[in-house]
Amino acid sequence: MSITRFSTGFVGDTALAGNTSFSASDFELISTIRVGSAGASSITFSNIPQEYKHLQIRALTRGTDTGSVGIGNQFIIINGDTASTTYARHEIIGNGSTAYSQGGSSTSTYGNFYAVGCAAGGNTANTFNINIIDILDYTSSKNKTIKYFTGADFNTSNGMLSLGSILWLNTSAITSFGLDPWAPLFSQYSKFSLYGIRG
Amino acid sequence: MGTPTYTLIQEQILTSSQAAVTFLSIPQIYEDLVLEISGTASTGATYWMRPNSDASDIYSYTQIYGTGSTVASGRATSPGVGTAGMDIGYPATTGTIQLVNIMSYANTNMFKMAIATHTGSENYAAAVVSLWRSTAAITSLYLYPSGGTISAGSTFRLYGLVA
Repeated sequence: MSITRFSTGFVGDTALAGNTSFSASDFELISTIRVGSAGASSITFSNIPQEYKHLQIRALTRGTDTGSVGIGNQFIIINGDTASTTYARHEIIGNGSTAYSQGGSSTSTYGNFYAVGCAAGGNTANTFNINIIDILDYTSSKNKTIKYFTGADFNTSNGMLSLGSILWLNTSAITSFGLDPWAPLFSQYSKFSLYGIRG
Repeated sequence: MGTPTYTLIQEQILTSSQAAVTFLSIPQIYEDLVLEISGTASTGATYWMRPNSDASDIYSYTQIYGTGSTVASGRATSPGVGTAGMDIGYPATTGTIQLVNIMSYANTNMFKMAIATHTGSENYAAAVVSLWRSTAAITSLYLYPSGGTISAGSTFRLYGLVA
C-alpha cells in the first residue's frame, strides 16, 4: 500500500528502507477525550478535520446524577447550534420488557432535543452507557444524517438499548460536535473517541 | 511503528465443526475490540461469550429483536441465568452475522460491556447489550453456542481499535 499521508503527531518509525513497514489506514483516530476526577459539564470535538468522508464517535458515558437510575438524556450540539429548531430524531428502543419507538418528524430546539443517552449516576457502580455514533458525509452540502446505536445493562430493570437516527437540518459542513449530559456532569472515566473514515 | 487504528488481531476460519472458539493472549494495547462472526451452527442457539473463560454468575443482558411479525425486548439478570456468558447473538443453521463491540476491554476502572447487532437469516434481526460485572482486563474470549456446534466454514475475526 502506498503511503498517502502522515498525520500531525504521528509517532513511529520512519518509512525508510530497512525499518519496519508503515501501514496506512482508512480508519483513523482523530481525538480522544477522557473525563477526569473533576467530571465534565460537556465535551466538544472542535476543529474537526475536513479531510475524511465519515466520522464515528465511540463513547462510554455516565453522569454524576447519583439520585437517578436508568439512561439519562444527553444533548447533541453540532457546530455550536443550540438556538435554532434544526434537530429531529427517530429511534427504536428496547427496555427489557417492551420494544417501542419514539421521536418525531417535527424539529426541536436544542433545549428539547436529546439523543443517544448517558447512564445515570445511581446505577450499578462501574457501569456506563455505550454510544456508537456514525456521521456520514459530514462535509457535504446536504442536510446531515446521523445514526446511533446505544445501550447499557446494569443487571437491574433499568437497562435499555436503542437504534436511532438524527437529522440536523443544516447543509453546513460539521466542524464541531458536542455532547452535554442532562446530569450535572459526565463522571470520571467517561470516554469519547472521534474517528475519521476515508472514502 | 505507530499503532494502526483498526487492526485485525486474529482470524479463525473453521475447517471442521467445533464446540467453541477461543481467542487467547489478546494484546492490551487497544481501547475497544470488535468481533465479527459470520457462519452457521448445527442448531439455532444463543452465542455466549465468556471473557477470560469466566463461568461466574456475573453476567446480564438486555435485548431487542424483531421476527418479521413481532418486535419485543427481553432481559436476563443474575444470579440465576448469569453463568453462561455475555449474550452476543443467535447462530442459525442457514446463516448469521454478529458484530460485537467490546468497549474499553482493558480498562480496570469499569465493568466490561459489549453491544452487538446480530441477524439470523431464518429467524430475526436483533441487538443486545451485555454486562460482565468484573473490572478485570479481558485477555481472552471464549465463544460457544448454547446448543449444537459451530459449523465448518464459520469465520471469526477479532479487531482492535486504538483511542
